[in-house]
Amino acid sequence: MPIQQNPNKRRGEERSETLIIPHITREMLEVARAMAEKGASRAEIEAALAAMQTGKAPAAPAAPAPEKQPGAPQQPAPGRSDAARSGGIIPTSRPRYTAAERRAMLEEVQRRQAEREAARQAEAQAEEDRFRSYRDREYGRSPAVTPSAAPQPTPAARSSQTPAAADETRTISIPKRRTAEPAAHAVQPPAPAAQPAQQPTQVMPPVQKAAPAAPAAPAPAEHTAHPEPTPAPKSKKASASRSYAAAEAALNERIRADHIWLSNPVLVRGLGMAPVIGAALDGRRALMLCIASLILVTFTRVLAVAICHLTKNRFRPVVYCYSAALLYIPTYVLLYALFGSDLTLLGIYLPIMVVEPAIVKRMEFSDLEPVRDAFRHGFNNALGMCVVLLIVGCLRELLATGAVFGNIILHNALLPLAALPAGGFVIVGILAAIWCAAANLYTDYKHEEVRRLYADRKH
Amino acid sequence: MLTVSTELQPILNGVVQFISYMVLAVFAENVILARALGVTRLMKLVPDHRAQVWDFCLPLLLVITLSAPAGWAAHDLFFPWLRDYLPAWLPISALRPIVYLTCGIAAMAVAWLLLGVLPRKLRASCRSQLSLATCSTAVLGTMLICANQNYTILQSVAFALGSGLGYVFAVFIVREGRRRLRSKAISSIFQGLPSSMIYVGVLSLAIYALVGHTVVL
Repeated sequence: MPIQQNPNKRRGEERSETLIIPHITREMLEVARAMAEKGASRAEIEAALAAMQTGKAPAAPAAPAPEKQPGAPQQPAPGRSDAARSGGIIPTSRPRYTAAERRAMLEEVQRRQAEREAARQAEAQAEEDRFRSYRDREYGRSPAVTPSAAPQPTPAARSSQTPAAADETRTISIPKRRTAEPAAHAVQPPAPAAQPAQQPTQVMPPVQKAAPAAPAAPAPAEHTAHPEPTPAPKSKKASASRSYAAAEAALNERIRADHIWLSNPVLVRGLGMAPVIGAALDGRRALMLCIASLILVTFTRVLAVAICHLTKNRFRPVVYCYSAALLYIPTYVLLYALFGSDLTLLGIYLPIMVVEPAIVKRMEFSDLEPVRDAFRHGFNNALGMCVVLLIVGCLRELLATGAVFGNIILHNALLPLAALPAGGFVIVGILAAIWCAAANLYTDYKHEEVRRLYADRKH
Repeated sequence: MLTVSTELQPILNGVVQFISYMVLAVFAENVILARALGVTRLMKLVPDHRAQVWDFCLPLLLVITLSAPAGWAAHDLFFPWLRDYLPAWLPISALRPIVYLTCGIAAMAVAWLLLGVLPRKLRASCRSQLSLATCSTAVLGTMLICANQNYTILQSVAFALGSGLGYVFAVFIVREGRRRLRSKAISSIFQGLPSSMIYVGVLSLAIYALVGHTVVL
């Protein structure tokens, strides 16, 4: 590695070669540099500079013109040029501009400011568009809500959305369907004219800050041009609260419809516990139960709903149970073809799936859903149950035997209790706690996001 | 004197056998603690103050007891007769749920009639829970266990009655535990379903320690 030269020493050497000339100007420096390049001696340079200080013209040729800066005016000031050419010692570090140059510079600065402002506004507009599209996509409309002229929800309605005692096992705090209905009914499909009128209360603060002088005049004009079918809100606050309630309703509906994660039938709603605890002892049994539940949960709901449409929604318990029992026949044949005599490992837990609450719980509800919705909900429920079955089955097998699907991972059993129903209860309980805690964090975040997006901000 | 004792011996044996099977079903092979049957309904029933425990448990006791002889008849009489008429591709096990479910529905009809002797208010509340009690995994599971164990009709009835009593026993235990589990000392993420499941798991572990072996699934 090369040794670096001492910078202090180098600076000292340079200082010994430097001319120390008081009151030197830029012209003097350029003249001295030009003379040094031409090979003039030190005495000649000092003489030339002394002559310049006394007011005489330098003997050396004139220094080259300084480079023009981009923002500098095109023509230098006449007075300055004359003084420089006359060999004066007026410092040139502060250029003097004419009025025309100042006007040109001012216009240039104003033009750049306008460009920056336009770019900022365009960026803010794009941000607002992204925000609106995200908000409308996330909370704008609910698939299950229908527009109607129902009374608007009040803050008391939201406070009354505490889960009832009957649904206390549900750990995630999701409002009951009945209490959420007024808010759901309040969801109005926003008319094109009503949207600008609600914008000032719905935009994010940075957007408002970026465009504080957004004209409010066009909104009433558009509002009058396209009148709403429903009566307009009396005040900005009422409009905001309605939008907030609608967004809350849409969010609650999304949470309720998420049967895999947020409203998992097993770990959140406590359905289908018997196969999970009693039979999902290892991965293979869990896989068999997965296939069975996927077929039974999905198609039982479809078949039962179709039959209930024919029977005018009467005899629901019998219809649901017999639908499951009928579908159990092809399911058993299929499973027997796939797994053979291993089906006996499941014992009574495969036949009792026909009365599992995860399958027949729907019979307790009197509203009759369309067949397409029944298929979608049933399939989602089945997927949620399958996820839990596989997780619990693999976890219990790993803890009890140190293997997953027969593949040895650990060479000692960490918790042989996991193979017992007692271990199943404990594992499912701990898993439900973790699952619900994570889901609660997510739902709290989404509720806070709705509260922030639809907040009625004054500034 | 000796002749009388000889005639009473089978009766006493039957009574002892009945009680022993019933106690077995109440404690050692409890439907909830040993087999996790009917846990979902238990979790919904315990915190529900509007639905009284006996509104659900009384119909369950009736249905589970009345369905036992029907299940025995289906297993010992109907299935052997039906086996000769089934095609080769259709195993008899595929028809078990629908047959036993029919037994449960028949028991539900009888129980509906028997509930008529109750006072009006209790009768209405019990009949409203009758369909839920019938469509419970505890009822169907008990019939399937009796069939798998090849119980006689007496043993089936005793086991079914014990299973029903064991269900009621577990409901009261879990209800009391649930009341204590509302303590603020319990972390919020364990409130509700998780703490109840762990509590039932501890009870199940106690049953396992009492019995010393796992039950036949």
